[in-house]
Formats: sequence, structure tokens, C-alpha cells
Amino acid sequence: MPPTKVTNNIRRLRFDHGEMTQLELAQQAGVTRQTINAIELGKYSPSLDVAFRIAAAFGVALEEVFSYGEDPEANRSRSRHRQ
Amino acid sequence: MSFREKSAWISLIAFVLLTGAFAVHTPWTLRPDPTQLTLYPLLLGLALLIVVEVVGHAIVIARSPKDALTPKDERERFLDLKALRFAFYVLIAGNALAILLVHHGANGFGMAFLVLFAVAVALIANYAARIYFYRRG
Repeated sequence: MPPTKVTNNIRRLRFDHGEMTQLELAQQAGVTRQTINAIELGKYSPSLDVAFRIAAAFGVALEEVFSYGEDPEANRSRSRHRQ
Repeated sequence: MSFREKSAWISLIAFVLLTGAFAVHTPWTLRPDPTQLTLYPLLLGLALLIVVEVVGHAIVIARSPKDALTPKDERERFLDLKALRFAFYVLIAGNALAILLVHHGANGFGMAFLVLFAVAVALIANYAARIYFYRRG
């Protein structure tokens, strides 16, 4: 699979949520641990369904987790400014 | 290693054994003599396949029953389809070769062996491609 343009903050969000493991997140999102790892490394772009379930597992909006073709941290600070 | 990858490894080994038994005992000629043919090598290969698949999967399931019960997710289904697509090309190439060999004097039995062999190689290609895609991420 070619590297995706979809970037994400999953690693940081897992850290912020008490070092949530990939397995715990996978169980909440209804996918395998290997799939969470592939998404986190940018090797696989999840469907909207799974993306929303990952965001719901962290209790944040979708754009807090995923962004397209840009630095996810920049997207995050822009979201904070809007609030 | 995920349960799906372990399962693919078991099936790959089982089909390599089946194809090996088949290849070793097949008369590699375009015009095999029907009176010399026997089904025993194929039956032996099938028995090996069943034993390796059942025993291999039983061991893997016993070691991690929770993983085995987890349904396939969207990424695994996608990778399986990619592997199947690759295997389909292998099957088509093998069958095209079998048809071409009819024009070079192969009889019906010779062609049937080649088609069966192409199916076995395509199945091996399917499981090998699955393992490759799973490992790549």
C-alpha cells in the first residue's frame, strides 16, 4: 500500500489517555491491533466508519484525530483557536 | 503475528506439500498414458493438506482462542482481496499455458494435469501474497 496523505494524532491521543494500548483502542474501535498499528504508521487509511469509532474512543471530534495532507499538530492548534 | 497471518502460513505450507506430492508423482509429459495414471499421489497430497490444516489451526486456536474468534476487519478483508486478485492472474496465466500446450500436442490428461497444477500454484500465490501484504502493514 502506498503511504497515505491522511495523517493522524493517534499516538499522542493514546498517550494523553493514560498510555492506552493499541489493543485497547482496537477493541473499542472494533478492529485488530495490527490495523490500529497500520493506521498509526500511516500505512492504511481507515473507512469513515472506523475513523469515527476511533475518534469516539478518545471522545474527540474526527478532525482532532485525522487530517489530510498536513501536519496533524497544525490542524490541532487551529481547532483550539476556533474554540 | 496476527491469527490471520498464522493461518495463511499454515495454508501455504499445506498447499506446498500438496503441490509437491502432486508434482513429484505427475508424469511430466504432454501425452500421459491413461493406463499408467493413478490417483494415489493426489489422494496422499489431499490427506497431507487436511492433516496440516486441521492440526496447524487447532494448535494456533488453542494458543490464542480470543484472536481466532475475532472477525476479519476491513483492512484484512481488503488485503485478502488484493491477494486474491494477484492469484487470479496466476491462475489465468496457468490456464492459458495449458490451452497453448494443446496446440503443441498435449492430450486431455496432459491438459487436465496442467490446469490442476495451475490451480494449486494459484492457491500458493494467494497465501504467499496474503502473508506479504500482512507483513508490509
